[in-house]
Amino acid sequence: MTKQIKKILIANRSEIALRVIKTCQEMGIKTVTLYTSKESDLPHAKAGDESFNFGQGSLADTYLNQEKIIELALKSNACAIHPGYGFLSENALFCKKVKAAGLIFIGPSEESMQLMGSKKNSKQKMQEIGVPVVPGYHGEIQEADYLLKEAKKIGFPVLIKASAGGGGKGMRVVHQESEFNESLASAKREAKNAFGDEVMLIEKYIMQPRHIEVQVLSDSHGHHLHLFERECSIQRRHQKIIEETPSPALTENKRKEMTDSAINITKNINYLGAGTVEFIFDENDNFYFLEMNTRLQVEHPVTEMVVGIDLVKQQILVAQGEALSLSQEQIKQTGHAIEVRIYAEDPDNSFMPSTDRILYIGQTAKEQSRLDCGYKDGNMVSTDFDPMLAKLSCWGDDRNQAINEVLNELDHLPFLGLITNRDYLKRILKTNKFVDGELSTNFVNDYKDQLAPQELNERQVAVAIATMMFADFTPELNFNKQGQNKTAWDRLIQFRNV
Amino acid sequence: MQKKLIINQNEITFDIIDKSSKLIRFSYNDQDYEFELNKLNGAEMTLKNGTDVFSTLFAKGKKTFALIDGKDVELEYPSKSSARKAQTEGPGRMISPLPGKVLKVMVKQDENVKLGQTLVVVEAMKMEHAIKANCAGVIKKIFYAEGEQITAGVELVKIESDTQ
Repeated sequence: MTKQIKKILIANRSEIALRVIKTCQEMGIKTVTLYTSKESDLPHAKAGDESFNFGQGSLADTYLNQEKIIELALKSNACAIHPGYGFLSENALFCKKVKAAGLIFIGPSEESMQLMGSKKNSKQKMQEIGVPVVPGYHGEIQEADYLLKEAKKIGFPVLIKASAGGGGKGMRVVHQESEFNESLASAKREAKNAFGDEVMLIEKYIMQPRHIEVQVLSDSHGHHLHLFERECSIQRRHQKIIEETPSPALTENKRKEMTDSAINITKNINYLGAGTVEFIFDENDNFYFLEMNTRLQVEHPVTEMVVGIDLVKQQILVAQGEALSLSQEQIKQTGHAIEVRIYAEDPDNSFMPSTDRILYIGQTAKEQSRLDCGYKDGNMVSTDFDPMLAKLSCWGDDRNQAINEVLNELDHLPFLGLITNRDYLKRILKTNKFVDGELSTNFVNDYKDQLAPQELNERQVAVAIATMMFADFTPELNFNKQGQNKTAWDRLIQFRNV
Repeated sequence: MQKKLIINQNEITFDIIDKSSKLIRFSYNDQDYEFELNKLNGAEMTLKNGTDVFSTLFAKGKKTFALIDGKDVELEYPSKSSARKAQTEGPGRMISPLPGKVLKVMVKQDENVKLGQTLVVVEAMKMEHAIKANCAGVIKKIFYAEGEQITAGVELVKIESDTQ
């Protein structure tokens, strides 16, 4: 039973809202966008066919305001809500309310969200269906000698983790048996102080973990497909910075094992729509289930670039009740794609967030390069939302070419006006280890010394002086309240090229 | 004319030999440089130094930002107001009452001027404003060249008053 979606309310903001609109426009579907007062001059605000201003307020009053969002969807006669990523995209209760209101939720069922939203329940399910999970002990018996027995069963090194924990508190890495008891006692003390709960889990500690995830896509007719993997090992504080596909770590056999595993999961939980199964990959080529994200992922562009499939379009078709028109055999990967996330922060100053007015973003040099950006020139960047300014994705025939394309494009996207991680991204891409594909989630920390900034040389300083002097003859950039460039460009000079 | 510039939080000093909207000559770290402006189109600036051509991107806000050789560069002049605080108020200091563009500099260094003589013509809001000497004396320093943009409150010319 299919239902044609004629209008979608996008319950999100910035680049992902613009991304969804792009596909909707191609499909002839009308859109409704939401924004807050402070975001009135951001590109997504009025990009929809209709738009609503939430006004001022905290996230709870705006992008997390379930009742308000559903009310606006009904008011605008939207048939469906696309939740984007983050915000309410994995909120089972919201999904339920949307459906109860007679609207289509573009995503999976609330059961899938609930199951995968619980670390404990999802791991249990994985064990039931035979998907490997990180070997560990999550039991109730907490006596020290019992925990040590479990640790020995798992095999050192192990990670002692507070069950109630997060943020690294109540966590200890134990490399050998002799250190176990002391580390356990110390971790328990810390956990008791931080969370009031001393229950500990023991897990295998993976020394150089790689984050490799599989893109999945399922319809309501029993078809469960995968669109290959992405490697997202370059992270800082669990925040992804660089993602790519294919993963340089996988052989064809390993790829088959992992994608088969991902499909095993979607089949068994009767998944619907687009999702991502995240695995940890260790130095011995073993992979373990980490978690599943029951939504579209930030880094989906690299997958789209190598398989040539519009994931948002597939999400909408599936939500309409249609059967996927692709078969697994038809899905092929060509070339290599890399995405880098440009953040408004200063990596050379403890990653302090930077807030200021964007004066000049720049433009990609090649048409096939993709920039997903939620801002335009003249916009103010604040700390109200995520510091991600944009995603730059480039394709190449092979990995080296893709790296060079990204490096080239980064020099065309200076994001002048505020401090960003643009140069830091270049430094990562230029390290030998990155070029050799030797990645792990410890990368940016392990190679900190190679990622230090380089000073300008004398020639560059001279050019800087000259640039400043010539800039003295130009007007200061002036953006009005609507974010339009109102600079007096009557001083634009064009000389004949000598 | 000696000038200070803060480049990526580091203050450097250099000497301007010649400055116009098309040609800049200066000395930095005991080396003389000459840059010619080849092209200026929005954010793109192309400079020529001998046979070397440099393409940079720049944007001027409260500070000036540039992309030079693929590197992020933040530029600003040391705060002018803090420099002014060291000097005494009163005659001899010709302050611009408004932001605009220096259209014409009518005097030269060491020239004798009379009270009320037009020193600089500033163009602002499509009108010309003559900045006149508030005392008789000798031109000691001219801070801006023709074509330069200025903000309100900056000192344009310093006169060493005859009565001092």
